[in-house]
Order: sequence, then C-alpha cells, then structure tokens
Amino acid sequence: MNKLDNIFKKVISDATLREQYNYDPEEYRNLSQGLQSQNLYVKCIAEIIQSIDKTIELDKANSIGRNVGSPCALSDSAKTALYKKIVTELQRELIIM
Amino acid sequence: MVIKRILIKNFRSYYGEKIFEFSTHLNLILGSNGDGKTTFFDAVNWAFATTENDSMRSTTLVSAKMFSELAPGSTGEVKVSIDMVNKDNQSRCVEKSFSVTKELDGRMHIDNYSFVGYITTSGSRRSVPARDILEKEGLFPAVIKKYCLFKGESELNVFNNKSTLKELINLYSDVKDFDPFKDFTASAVENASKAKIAAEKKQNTNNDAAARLGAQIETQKTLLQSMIEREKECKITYDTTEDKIKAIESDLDTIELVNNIQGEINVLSSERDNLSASLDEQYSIKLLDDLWILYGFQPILEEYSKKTAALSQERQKLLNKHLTEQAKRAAKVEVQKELEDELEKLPWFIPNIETMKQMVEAHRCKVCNTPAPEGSDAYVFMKKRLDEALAHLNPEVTTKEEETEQELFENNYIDEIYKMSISLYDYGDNIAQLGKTIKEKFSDNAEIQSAINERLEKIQLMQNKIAEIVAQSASGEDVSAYLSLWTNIKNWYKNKEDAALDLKDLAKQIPEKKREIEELEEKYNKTMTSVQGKIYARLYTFFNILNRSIERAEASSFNDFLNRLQDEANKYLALLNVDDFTGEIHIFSESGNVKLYLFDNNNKRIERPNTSLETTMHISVLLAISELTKENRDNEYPLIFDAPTSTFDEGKDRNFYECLNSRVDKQCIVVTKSYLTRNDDTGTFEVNEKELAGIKCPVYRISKREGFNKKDLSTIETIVTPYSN
Repeated sequence: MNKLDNIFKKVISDATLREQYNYDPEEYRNLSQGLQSQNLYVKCIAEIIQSIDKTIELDKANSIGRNVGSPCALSDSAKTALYKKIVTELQRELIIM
Repeated sequence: MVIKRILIKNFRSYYGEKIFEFSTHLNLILGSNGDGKTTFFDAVNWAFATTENDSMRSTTLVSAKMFSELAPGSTGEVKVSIDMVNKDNQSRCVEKSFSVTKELDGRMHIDNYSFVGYITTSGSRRSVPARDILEKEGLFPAVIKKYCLFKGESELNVFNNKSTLKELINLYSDVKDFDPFKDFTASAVENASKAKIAAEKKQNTNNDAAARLGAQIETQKTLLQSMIEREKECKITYDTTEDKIKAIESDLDTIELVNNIQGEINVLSSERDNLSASLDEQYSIKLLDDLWILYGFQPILEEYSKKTAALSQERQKLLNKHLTEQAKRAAKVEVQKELEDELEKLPWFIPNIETMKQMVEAHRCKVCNTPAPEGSDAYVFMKKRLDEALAHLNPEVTTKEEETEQELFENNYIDEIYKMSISLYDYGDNIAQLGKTIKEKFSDNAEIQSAINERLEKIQLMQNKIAEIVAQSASGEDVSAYLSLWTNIKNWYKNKEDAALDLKDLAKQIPEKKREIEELEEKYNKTMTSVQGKIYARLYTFFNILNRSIERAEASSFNDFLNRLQDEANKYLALLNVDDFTGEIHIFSESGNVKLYLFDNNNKRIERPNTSLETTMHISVLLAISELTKENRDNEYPLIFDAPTSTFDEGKDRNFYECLNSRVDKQCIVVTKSYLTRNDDTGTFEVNEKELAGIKCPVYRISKREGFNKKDLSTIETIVTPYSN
C-alpha cells in the first residue's frame, strides 16, 4: 500500500465520516477503488487526495528545475481551484437530491 | 549499508596508515584514555561529513608526528577512507583527504582537499562525487547519520533536541503526509461556511431563527479561535519555560543554595552598614568640641589653681600693705597741710618765680641766705614753693598731677587669672570624667569595629563559598547569572505548571467547543429555507466532517508512530538487560515534545533510573529508530558509539556488550575502555582476556606507541592491533 492509499484508507475509516455518508470502508482497498466509488462522497475524498498529491508532485518537479526548495503546501489558487471542482461535483448531485 | 573497512592515515594521532575491518554485528575498539578512541570517532565523522567548511581541512587534523618528520618542501597526506557495501551488497567507498606541505620556513600548508566516492561494479571502480553516494544513493545521508554516530553518553538521548521528533516523523511517519489535505479541507470549510451564510442571507433575510443561530455560531467560533490562540500561547510558554528550566535543572539546588547564601550576605552587609554608621571615630573634632584635648590637664589645672590662689593671696598682701602706706602718706599730708594752714602763708608770688628758680639752682636761700643743698628740707621747701608758683601759672598741669595716683595692680591680671582658675575648677570635674568618656568611646568603637570585621570575614567566607559552588556548575551554565533571576526561576515552575494545566483544560475544551459549534451548525442547516442555502450547508458539513476525519487520522498516525517506536525500544531494552530490572519505556508527546520515561509494572514512573539503565534506555531508543529506518528505507545503517558506557558499573558494561553482540542483529562499532584492566606493576592497561573470551566479535586494541615524550605531541602515535579471541 503506497502513501496515498494509506492516507485514503485512514481517512475513510473514520467512524463519523462513515456513518454520515453511509459506506463500508472495507469495500475500498486503495485510492483507485475510491475513485471508482458509487458513493459520491467517497469518490470526492479520493479525488481530493489524488488532486492534491498531483499538484504537489508537479510543483516539486518544477521547483527542482528552478533549483528552489520543494513546496510542502498547496498554493491558495490551487486550493480554490480544487474547492470549486469538488463543489461543482457535489452540487450536481445535491441539487438532484 | 555496512561498513567493511576503515583506513585512517596521518589523522591526528593515527600516524601512517591504520586499518580496521568490521563484521556486520558488534565490533569493539578498546583503548584507555588518550589512546585515540575519540580520534577514531572524529575521523569517521569527518569522512562522512558532507558539509564544506574550513574545519574540513584544518591543520589540527594533521598528525604532528608525520609533519615533524617531513623534510622542508616535501608533502604528506591526511586521509580517511571508508569501504562499505550497500543494501544490494555492492561495494562503495568514500575517501576524504588533503595534502600537507612543510614549507621552507617550517610552516604547514594544506591543499588538494578531496572528497570523492568510488563505485565498484563488475570488478571496475569509478569515481563519483562522494555526496552522490552518501546522499543521492542514500548510502549514509546526513539526516540518518545524525541518529547513527554518538559521542559519549550525553548525546544518546536524541530527544533532548526538540527538532528530533519532527525529523523522525518526517523520516519515518506518514503524519506529515496529512498536512496538505488538512490545509485544503480547513480552507474549504471556511469557503463553504461563507457561501452558506451568503446564500441564506440572499434568499431569506427575515429568517430570525437562522439569524440567531448564525450569530451564535459566529460567537462560538470566535471563542474557539481564542481558545486555539490561547493553546498556542500556552505551548510557547510551556516550551520556553521548560527550555529555561532544562538549561539549569542540574544546577537548581546550587542556585537555590547560592541564593540563600547571597541572602545571608545581604543581611550581614546591612548589619555591617548599620554598624559602620554607628561607628563614631571623629576624634580630631572631639579634641576641641568635646574638650578631649584637656584630657591629662587635671594635675596642671590643680597646680594652676594652687598657684593662682597663692598669687592672689600675695597680691592681697601687697595691696593691703600698699593701702596702709597710702593711708599713712595721706595722713602725713593731711597733718602737714593742717600745720601749713595754721601758719601765715606767704603769697605764691613772693619771692617771684625768677628768684625762686635762682635759689633752687644755686642751692641757697636768698631770704635767709643759708645754703640749701639738694635733698635738704630747705631745698625741698624752695622747690615746692617754685612748683606751687608754677602751678598757679599753669593750673591744669597741677590738677592732673594731683589726680594721677598710680594703682598697685593697674591691669588686674592676677584677679583675672584667679577668676579663670575658679571657673576652670568646674571643668575640673568634667576633665576628670574625660578619661572615662574617651576610654568608653574607644572601647565602643573597638567593639563595633570588631563586629564589622566579624561580618566582613563572614561575607568573605560566604563569597568564597559562592565562587566555589558557581565554579562547579553541573550544567555548564553561568550560575551567577541566574542569581538575580531567582524569583523568576521560581516563577518558571509555576508558569510551566500553569501552562500545562491550561493545555490540559484546553485539550478538553477545544473539542467540546467544536462539537458545540457542529451542533449549532446542524440546527442552523435545518433552519435553511433556500435550496442554495441547503446545498451549501451540506457542502459545509461534508468539508467539516472530512477536515475532522483528517485531523483524527493524523493524530492516530502520530500515536501509531510513537507506539511503534516505544514497542521497538522496549524489545531492545529487554534484550540489553537480560538479568536486570528494566521497567518499560513509555514514549509520549507532552506539549509537542517527546518524553521518555521508565515505568514499572504498577505503572509507577521510575523517577531516577541509574545511569546504566538510563543509557541502555537511550540506546534501545536509538536501536528502535534504526529499526524504523530499516523498515522505512529498506536499508540498514551502522551505529557508531564513542564511550557509551563510561559510567556503567564494572561488569555491567560487559553484559551490555555481550547482549549487543549476541541478541541485536545490527552493525555496531563501539569505541570503549571496557575490557581493559590496569596492570599495577607496569601501570599500563591490558586487555582482560578472560572476560573478552566470552564475546565473539572483531576486537581492536588501540594504544599509544611506547617511548613517547609526554610533552611532545610529535612523539604520539596510535598503534592498532587486531585482537583475536
């Protein structure tokens, strides 16, 4: 299990989250399975983890090229973009509900 | 990584080339004081150091013996070369060196500094920058080396350094991986909250219940924020006070003692000042103002009194006599006058003045023509008549002469002296007392001075005692600097305790407050009337719950990490203390710092474990860290210790090494003076073969070559002898 799978598993195993959004964490062994989930919330959590990791890895690669220190946090613009993306996905579902 | 071989050349006392070869388990290098144990450690540390600074090519690293033997103009080399194998069993080597030239004037010149790595593949060897091997390939990164090389016992507790936990978490835990996700969800919660409120306001401004709840939520959030701020402040207070206390902890009793002594000195100084103020030594003023000058004049005064009394009596006698004679004379004059009055007197102008003058000058009376020699009655009579006649002509002169009656004691000096004598008589008594007064004053002053001296002596003794105590500072801190801070120091403990209590309360209050806000928000969401508001309320709930879940997952990872470290450390503690009491290591976080304590089975903290148990505990933690390294990096690293057991009881260190060798599967290189026994006949240290026979591992004996000059560094050479057991 890699780092992202580990984080995903730990987060979705949280009792409050599980009860609130009614899913069984045992159904998901890794992040990929989360991304394929029918449960919108599990899917969004997986997407958040994947997106953040991708953004950081990309920034790391760029910073090595520019010979500057590696970033360890998301920029405000990256956070806003991801927030909007997740909100759009959830809104679509929530309006139907 | 495993170290296979180390070559040390002309590095300080390691004159020439000295070679050590190591096994994958325990390796011992035995040497007594000054034999080169620490130099070995420093050489290894130097060879692995990837930083570039002047200390890397310092003249202090050069063997004095090698340099002394260099001819002017010739060059020698200082080198440390370390052969290793990586996790894939491939040979690697790092070599650090520089050349040393003895100039014609005898000065040392250093150049050709080199730090190079070698990769051996299929029998061929190629050179690369040493950093590429150590850092990029991960053969021995600086961040790992920090937890592998330890000099003395004091360095063994790596958690003394506050950055250790953060570093270890970064190295071996997934705690830090949660940070960007936590950061994002916190920001999303904030955005969703704003959007939710804005949407609701827009749709239904008259929803009083929602407005009330919204206001309550904002108030509670403000309170929560202030609690979080307070928690941060408490953590800072706790950390800073703990740092301060730690710096002087070992000297705390000393500071208190010195402070108490200083208090006594202050009391004594105050007493000395009061005594000095009561000291009345203005003797020169007292000589005149208090008539001390008259001390010793008593007999003189008595003599003076007697003499003035006698003089006065004499004066009185003379005066009486004078008055008697004066009275007689007056009586005679009276009688004469009466007689004269009874006779017919010739007028004053008969004979005339000229005639009278001639008669006086001729000493002859021309009336009766009889001689009148000078002094005779006739002459006196003539003279008198002449004077009377002249007096008539010049009456003022006559009157004056009549009035001039000479006093016997014209200036009255004797009277004055006598009166003075009487007045001094009163002083007499006081003067008689002067001796006593002066004596008492001197005695009082001597007593005061003695009391002052006594206090000064005590102060001096106490100050000497303080100097002695201060010089023996256990922490190495300047204790005297803390004396003026004693009140503050006492407050440090209170501040730390208060901060810890506040943190404990806040650790309970903050989650409660968060729950309270969540409940309010849930209620608030139910009051939502607009579709958009309801959607944002759900979004907000989602991000909020996700944020809390990430926080809990992070906290759980942190605890998992500490538990893993604790479990591993306890395994090693048990291995290293087979037949001894160990207790159990508890590792926990307290206000962001890691605390290591030993507890017994009854969960009672062992307050002051003995030094060997404490050292074993720290080494167990290091071995546990090493185990985590192995798990996380899929690589192992050697542990190199310089005299880790110097305070162990006799025998205890040997048990420790036997356990390290037989029960711990890890490469350890230990430089120690254990297994050496002093030979009383020769005064030298020899390997205790009997005790060493029980341990099967490579052993090297390092010692100074015999015949060295104690005062000449250039005669010192460490010789390295493999010891076969």
